[in-house]
Amino acid sequence: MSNHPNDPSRSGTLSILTSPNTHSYLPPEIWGQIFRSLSPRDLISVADSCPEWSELLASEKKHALLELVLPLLNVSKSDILTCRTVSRGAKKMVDSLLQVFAEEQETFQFAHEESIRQRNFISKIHEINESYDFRIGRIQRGRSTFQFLSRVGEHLSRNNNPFLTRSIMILLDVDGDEYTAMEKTLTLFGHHVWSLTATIISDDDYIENPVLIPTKKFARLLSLVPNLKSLNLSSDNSELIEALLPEELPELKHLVRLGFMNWLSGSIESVPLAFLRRYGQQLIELGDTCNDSLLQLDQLNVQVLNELLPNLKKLRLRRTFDSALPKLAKVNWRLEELTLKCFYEWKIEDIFNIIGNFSYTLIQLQLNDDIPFPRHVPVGILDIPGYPCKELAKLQVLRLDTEFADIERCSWFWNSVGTMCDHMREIHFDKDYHITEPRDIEVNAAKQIFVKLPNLERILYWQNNPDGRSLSVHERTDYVTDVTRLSFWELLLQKFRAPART
Amino acid sequence: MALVRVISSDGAAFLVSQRLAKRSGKLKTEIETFRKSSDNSEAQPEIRIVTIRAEILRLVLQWLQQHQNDPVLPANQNEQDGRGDAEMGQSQWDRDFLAPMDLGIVMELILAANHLEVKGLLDITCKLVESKITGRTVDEIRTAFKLKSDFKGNEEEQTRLENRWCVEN
Repeated sequence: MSNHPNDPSRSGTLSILTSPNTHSYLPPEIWGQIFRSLSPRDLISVADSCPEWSELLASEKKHALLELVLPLLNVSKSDILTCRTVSRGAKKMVDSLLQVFAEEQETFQFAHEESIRQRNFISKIHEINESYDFRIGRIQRGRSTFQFLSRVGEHLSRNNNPFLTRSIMILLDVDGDEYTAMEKTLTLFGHHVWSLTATIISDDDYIENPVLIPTKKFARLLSLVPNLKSLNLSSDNSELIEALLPEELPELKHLVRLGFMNWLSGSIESVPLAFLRRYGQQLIELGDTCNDSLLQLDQLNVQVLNELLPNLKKLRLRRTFDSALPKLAKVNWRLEELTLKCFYEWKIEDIFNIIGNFSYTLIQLQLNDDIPFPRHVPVGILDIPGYPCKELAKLQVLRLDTEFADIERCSWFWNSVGTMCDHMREIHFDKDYHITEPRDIEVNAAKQIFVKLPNLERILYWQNNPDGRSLSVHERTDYVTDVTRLSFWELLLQKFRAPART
Repeated sequence: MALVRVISSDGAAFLVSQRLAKRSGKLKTEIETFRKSSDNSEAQPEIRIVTIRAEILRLVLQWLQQHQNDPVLPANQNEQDGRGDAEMGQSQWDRDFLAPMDLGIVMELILAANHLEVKGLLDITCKLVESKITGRTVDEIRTAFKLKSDFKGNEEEQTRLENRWCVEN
């Protein structure tokens, strides 16, 4: 370390490393162990800091580089898995990557991954993740928990994590051998699981000979996954469910994400509400994509919602009727990310009152599906209470259905966007694959939007195709000449446009 | 000729023409941001790249210099399979450029090209590393990356068991 420059501008880490009081007392292998706990970037920085460290950490640096580079490579699932068998460091590196990427997929996806290389890598992780989908065990015998236990689980110690993505998918209504195998598997390895998706699937036998869905057994299984961070509960509209009390559910200290899919009002009170009452206080993210929204329940009034979910930062809501919308406009949550989809019987003021309620905290906003086409045509829009809403001072990313790109048709939205979203950096439009708009329509819309939003940097059009997702990007810099040419007149026009109501 | 000063993580400064620097998406954005915030239109931009050391930055600039007349490929250009245009765009010069490099240096170049948004360089470097992994045996990967197996006991066999479940299911 003697040749290391003693430069006061260097980081604190380097100062410690170069300190004669630290480096000379520890043998190299101990330093190696210490540095292995650093993030790949930090480890590379340390290795690059001087020739001695570079030599000592040569192998660790290569593992760290591989961890950073692998998501950019176009390699197959089996190639990724082969890298796990190269060395302990490589295994640790690949497993860490798989877990981080899999966990990211659990969080809300406001902006899709732009790098096609990373998108390819994520698709490989999805393939690996599917290996732990034990829901289809009933159909494919080879994928059952029973098979997993006999082929993998029984050969590993409890310390080994057999779930590479730390994510598993199970059925709620399993019974007999499969339940016993699931219970045994989770008893051995449940502490490695971070994400659990549990589904109720009724089959034809059940219709003729209905079975009560055993939610109390599920509560027992949950006690075997104490490190769970994400829980998704999905139903296929089954109404025959054993009632569950919040106090019957185990403590899950790390649970911060809860999602409900496809529940009907008949069963929503029996299971999802119990989960909300048990874990609501610790939740950061809530995904309510039920057929009938939880928010419609009469017992969940504004005061109860405030008390139940005091720490909620991210909300994804799909399908909700007008009875639930005023609640969202009044709750005192400090939401940073909000997705609103497919409302029924909604009015313009519902949207603006809801957005306005989170105007001080909202960073990302997504408006999808039927929202751009209000049933009540906004006549005399300036007289609508709450329109436009307060300035969204922190909003950086807006994601919209491509129908919003029709500026004239959605003038009710775009006329107000300049005052609402002045600081916004990015707009993402989602197109269905059957929509084939000519490029010049995109360009014209982009041109108008850049004028309305002077701080906007990029507009991204995403299209879902049968073989993947395609992207076209419009950068402000590409439009700088056009915008400059137009901006004088547009700015002049904007000055005379109706001012925002307060 | 307008110049820009590009400074590596270890403090080495490279004086580069702005025309050349702008072939990197990242440097182009930085130069434009500097222009917008600077009162003096003649001022020379200074860009500090805190994640790239001098040896790697020099190689990136060398590659840019060689390819300065190529069409610029957008970093997020749509591609069918993410392989980029590496095979199409790789010249004899590229092959000679990469040939003497240790794989560690190539991986650092990948990260630098990705950070600086130099798609052509990213494509050819990724292609090289992919060729050392795709369809290779564990021993071949160990040799290529100069990594030793340090598994203890039956750890390696257990890892294969975990892999087999993912491959067969």
